[in-house]
Amino acid sequence: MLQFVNYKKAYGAYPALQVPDLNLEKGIYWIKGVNGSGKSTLLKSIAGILAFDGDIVLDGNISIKKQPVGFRKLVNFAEAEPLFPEFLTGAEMIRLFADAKDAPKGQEAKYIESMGIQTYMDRPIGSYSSGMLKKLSLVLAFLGNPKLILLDEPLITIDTAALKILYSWISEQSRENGVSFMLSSHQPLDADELPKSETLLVQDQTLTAVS
Amino acid sequence: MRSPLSNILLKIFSNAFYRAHAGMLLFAAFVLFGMVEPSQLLGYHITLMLAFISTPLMMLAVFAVWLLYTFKCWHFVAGQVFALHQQFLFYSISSYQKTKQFVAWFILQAAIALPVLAYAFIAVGVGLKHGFYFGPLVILVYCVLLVAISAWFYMRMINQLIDGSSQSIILKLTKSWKKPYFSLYIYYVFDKLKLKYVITKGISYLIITGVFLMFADVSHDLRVAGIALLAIAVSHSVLIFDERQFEETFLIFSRTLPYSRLQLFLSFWGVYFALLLPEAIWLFVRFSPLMAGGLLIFALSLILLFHSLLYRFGLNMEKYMTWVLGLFIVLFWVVMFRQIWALVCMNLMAAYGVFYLNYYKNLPYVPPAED
Repeated sequence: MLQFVNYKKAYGAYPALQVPDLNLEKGIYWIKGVNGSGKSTLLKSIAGILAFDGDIVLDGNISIKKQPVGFRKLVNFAEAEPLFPEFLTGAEMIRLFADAKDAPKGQEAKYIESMGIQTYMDRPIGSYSSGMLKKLSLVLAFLGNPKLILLDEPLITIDTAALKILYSWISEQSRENGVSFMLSSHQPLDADELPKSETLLVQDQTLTAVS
Repeated sequence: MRSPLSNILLKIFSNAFYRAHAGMLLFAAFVLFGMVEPSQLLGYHITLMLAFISTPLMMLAVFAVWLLYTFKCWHFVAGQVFALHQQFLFYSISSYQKTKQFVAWFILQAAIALPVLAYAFIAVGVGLKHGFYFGPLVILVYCVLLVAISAWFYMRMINQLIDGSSQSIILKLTKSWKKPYFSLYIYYVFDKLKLKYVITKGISYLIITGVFLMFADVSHDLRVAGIALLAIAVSHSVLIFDERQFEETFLIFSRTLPYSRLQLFLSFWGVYFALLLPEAIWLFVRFSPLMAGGLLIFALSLILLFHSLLYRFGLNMEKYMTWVLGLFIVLFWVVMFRQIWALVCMNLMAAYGVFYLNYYKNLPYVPPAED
């Protein structure tokens, strides 16, 4: 599903992360690591926010560097602490993402409803609490027809009820549409709520698969 | 002894102000002092000062120039205050007593307005020596007022709570409109950068009037319009910088969206075309449609080039301003040699090239320490 080719990222003189050539199969991955280990760097690189050396290839032929647009159509991302223009409303953000990601019409409705954020949709984002903002960013990450969804610290800031709903979305997308997931988190994912997940460890500025 | 507050304000704003405006101030000094025969310098200035102290109309003209200078200060300080790395000001300064804040901002404004104030005080001295009392009094009151209003303006700006829930009228009116990605920049300008936008348009107006007054005898020469538009593009440089800053801060998510670089580049055309509408109207009123369209594209090509440079440098104001001013000087001569159309092509190619090569690369964004 996802292939790292000679991946290397440094911030100036400081090496941030490297990934030896690694091939991930379809599935749900928990990215484990201590503070500053490079979890966010990894996810932001795959999301296309951070520049890096080497390449990342989706499904064997879609390279983030050679097909920057095609790759981004299929990979969605929710930031750990999202920042959106404060003057926009949630509904406007959703329309923007749905449009960019070619989401089927009305796709967002079920996500908005199950997260229970309908009432906030027409308010400017500047008035949102951090939990609301996080829920909105999670909805955005599920729009379109992604092959891979990256969630940076999805478990923080949202309440337990929302967490359960998020787990159900992940299970459903993984089961029905074969969507892969990469989630970073300090705590282990809930094995009762999710299909079997693999673990990736970020340690000493290197990513390795834990078997 | 300076209070810690005025110390930090002077450090942040005053030094940067003089660095950013060194060229402008040197130019003004040259016009005021360098163009007069040294032996007549003193007499010339005393005559000039007495003239504006005794003639109300002249005084008004001089006051207008000082007011412009003050606007320039506001423009600069407002731009700096809202820079991301200066945001701590909002939760540090605002805990001082209001009077202390006012005094500190007063000192700051006096420091950055020093060239004007020094000239004003000398004029007051000259006036008093020659037996004028009313004129010097008016000048003193005017100067104190300018500095005090500025201090009040800065203080209000920093104590204003950032109220994300209040939307400007334009955003309320356009609530039901579909907002495509590129339009977000325009909405941002009309939401958060209204004052800056109005000031920039004011400067544009002054440039147009000034350049055509100066070259009244050859005002139909294409080069005159070319130089005016070059200056207008430079006056938009701060607005361009703010837009890039907005993109790096609030639109970081856009890098995960499947937009091609050509699409993005073309959308910036749309953005800057919308922001240049007032100038566009002027061009189409004054010149033939063909000429006006060409000149508008010339201005847009310059602005896009400045915009693209920021993808190369990151949000480095100093480097950016150096390049903008350097380009101004070089391109000024290119325009003088009537190469304006070749310049349009070169600007556009350079702008797209720099943008294309750097959009995904060399991101100025450095993530904060991970949690």
